[in-house]
Amino acid sequence: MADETSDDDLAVIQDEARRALAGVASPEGLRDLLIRTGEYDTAFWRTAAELGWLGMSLSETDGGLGMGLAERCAIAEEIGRALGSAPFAVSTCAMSALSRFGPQPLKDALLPDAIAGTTILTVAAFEAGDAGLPLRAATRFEGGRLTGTKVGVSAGAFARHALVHAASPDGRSVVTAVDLVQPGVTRRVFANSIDNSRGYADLVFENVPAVLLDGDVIADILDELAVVTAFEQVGGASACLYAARDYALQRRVFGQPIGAFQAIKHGLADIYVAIQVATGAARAAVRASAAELPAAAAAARVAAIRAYDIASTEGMQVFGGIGVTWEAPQHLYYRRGRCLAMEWGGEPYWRDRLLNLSIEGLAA
Amino acid sequence: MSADGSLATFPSDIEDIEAYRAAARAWLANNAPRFTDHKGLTEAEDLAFGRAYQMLKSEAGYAAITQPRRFGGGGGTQLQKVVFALEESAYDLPINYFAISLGQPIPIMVEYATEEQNARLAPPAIRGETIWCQLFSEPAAGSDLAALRLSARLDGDTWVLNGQKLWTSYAQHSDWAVVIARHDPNLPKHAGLTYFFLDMRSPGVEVRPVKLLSGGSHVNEVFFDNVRVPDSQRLGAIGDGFKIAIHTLMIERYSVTDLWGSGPNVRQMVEGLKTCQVNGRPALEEPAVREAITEAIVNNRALTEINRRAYLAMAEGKQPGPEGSITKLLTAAGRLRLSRALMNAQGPAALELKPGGEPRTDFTLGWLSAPPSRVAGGTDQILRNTIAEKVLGLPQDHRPDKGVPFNQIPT
Repeated sequence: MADETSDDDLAVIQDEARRALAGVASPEGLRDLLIRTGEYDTAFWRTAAELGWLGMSLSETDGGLGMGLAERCAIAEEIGRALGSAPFAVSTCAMSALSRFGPQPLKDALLPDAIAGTTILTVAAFEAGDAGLPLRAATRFEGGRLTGTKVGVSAGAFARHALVHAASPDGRSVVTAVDLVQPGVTRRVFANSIDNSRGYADLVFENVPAVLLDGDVIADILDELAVVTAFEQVGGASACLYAARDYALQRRVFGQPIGAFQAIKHGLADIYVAIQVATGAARAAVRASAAELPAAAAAARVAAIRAYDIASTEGMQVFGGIGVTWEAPQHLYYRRGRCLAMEWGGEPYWRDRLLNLSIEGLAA
Repeated sequence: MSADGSLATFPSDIEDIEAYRAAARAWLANNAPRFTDHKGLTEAEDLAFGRAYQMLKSEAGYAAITQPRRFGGGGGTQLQKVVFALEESAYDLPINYFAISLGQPIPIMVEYATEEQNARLAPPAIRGETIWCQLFSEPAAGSDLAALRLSARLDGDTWVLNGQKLWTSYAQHSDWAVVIARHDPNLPKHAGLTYFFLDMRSPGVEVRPVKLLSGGSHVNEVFFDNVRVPDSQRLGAIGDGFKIAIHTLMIERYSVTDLWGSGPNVRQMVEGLKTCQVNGRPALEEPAVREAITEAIVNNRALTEINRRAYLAMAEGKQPGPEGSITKLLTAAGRLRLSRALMNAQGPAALELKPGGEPRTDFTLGWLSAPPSRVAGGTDQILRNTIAEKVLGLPQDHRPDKGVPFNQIPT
């Protein structure tokens, strides 16, 4: 993943993304989606496809634009800032996994539609009763068929295909691609969740045919998801910070703007520091060598989770009463931040992974 | 910069700097090792050792890299200085005595003093024969520097200084100093300040070391009893003192200690804790301990990247942003939290202070010496104010003393 696109180039990409998103993704749109079940922002998704974002980091051979991870992360940051409500991170990371580890016929079958946005891909890695990736998946892959249950799958409500983590009969960890629209697959869509636009569902597989990807690659897939999501989290956290900053400049109490009180100033400074740490850790992960990536991705994920948590909670607090209403956008970031914190394995899992990878003998 | 010090692919000024780095590395390999063994030396012996190393550096143009060659400097760039300091930080060298001297007073002298004064005073400082200190803070003027009270009264063509400075690093070894004083208490506080340099051996100057909580004493109180300073040793105009003081503090805003090297060596710190237990379970499995280690690892990784980018910005001739404030906020308070957690993991044995410890690797010493670093060079609270005001654009705090003549501000 060693990758250094110049800041100027990335700034151009981000500017363009910001302009494109201004017309389609908005807090208002998300507020509507919150009261529906199993729907995402189709206008935003169409725009993402039309602008070539979905296949941007795939090779030209695979039908992509041949750009790097850094460019895709720059887009993810803007999506996070704008609360883009469709599964950009997971669908593009699943595409990336297919292109790297999938057999050619599977790529031919899935990538063109995924790049066009007419098919959504997801990753199903987590199981009941485990806060992170299970050490050994209870879901079984045997004789080309998959049996088991994955829980809280992001985009599980509307994805057409999933990359599913499973164990083979000899205990090996494998990843398989499954068509979710076929007999033997049951989706239990969450009728209500803290952010319905994420399309959470449990996926139940009963002896359904699945295609094996090459190697034990679930960690590779989750590492990339952690990095792309970290940028989405940084974008969302920044939106919270600057909204709170703007409000602190405008809202007056006791004869002065609340932003002149150190209780507010220092709180916002702490959010800023957390976001800088998350940004630094995420950028380091984009630059990391293959060997360094697992630890770098884990650090990026932990830092990004923390930054979005502090920015969305303490940023909301700056607004006082108005910040806790349905109409104010603060709860949308509060919800989204928590979703992004949980859906690829929560902080305890990644913290443990970071420690294990960083310091020999620190495995719990 | 990545942990292995490599800088993948960058424009040509980076290639130039890589050549500079290679030369510096080779010079250090030849010269630095014989100055690294200073265990057991008295402070005077260590200082003499340091002076000898400083002399060698000055001959090679590494002693004051950004200062003009005609004064014995290296005539180089800010980036070269950072690169050399980074390479130099691989060795444990007696260089602290000269850090302030060549970091702030000498650059500000070169900027504001006369050619004759600089020709006389800068070269011996750059060679390490003389040391300069910076007489800024006072008992009632730390974060609020402009509240300083040291009085300067003009008597003919000589200023007479009376009062006290505090927290002056290495004043006990200093031959010369730069100083800010109040020439007119009837003016508002910022307007009444003037900047001078002076001979620390002037009659009436008294230096008393202040022992810090960890036992060391590189900082001092400095008392002024009718100390006479010729008007020819005034820097800038009367009343320009605060402006020049801020300029002085900005010069070294991106010193290497800010950018690199101040993070704890977590791996080394936990090494001895792997066999420790809490209630029969490994101490390193204890959640609070793991949380503190996580924070340190994440911050180290993030700061490495943040500072790598600051370095690249400098290479492109840009001013780095507020990275310095972030680094110091995270490392000072972070070191305290990590050290405390690791002491908890070890148990009562952690209370022993072992000889020859170093705060980056010895958590007990790290804990004991953390509080001063949260205060020196901008308290954690002032750094938060700086971020809030300079980066986020929030209003200044309410300042009741604004525009009020200094001598009418209630004390």
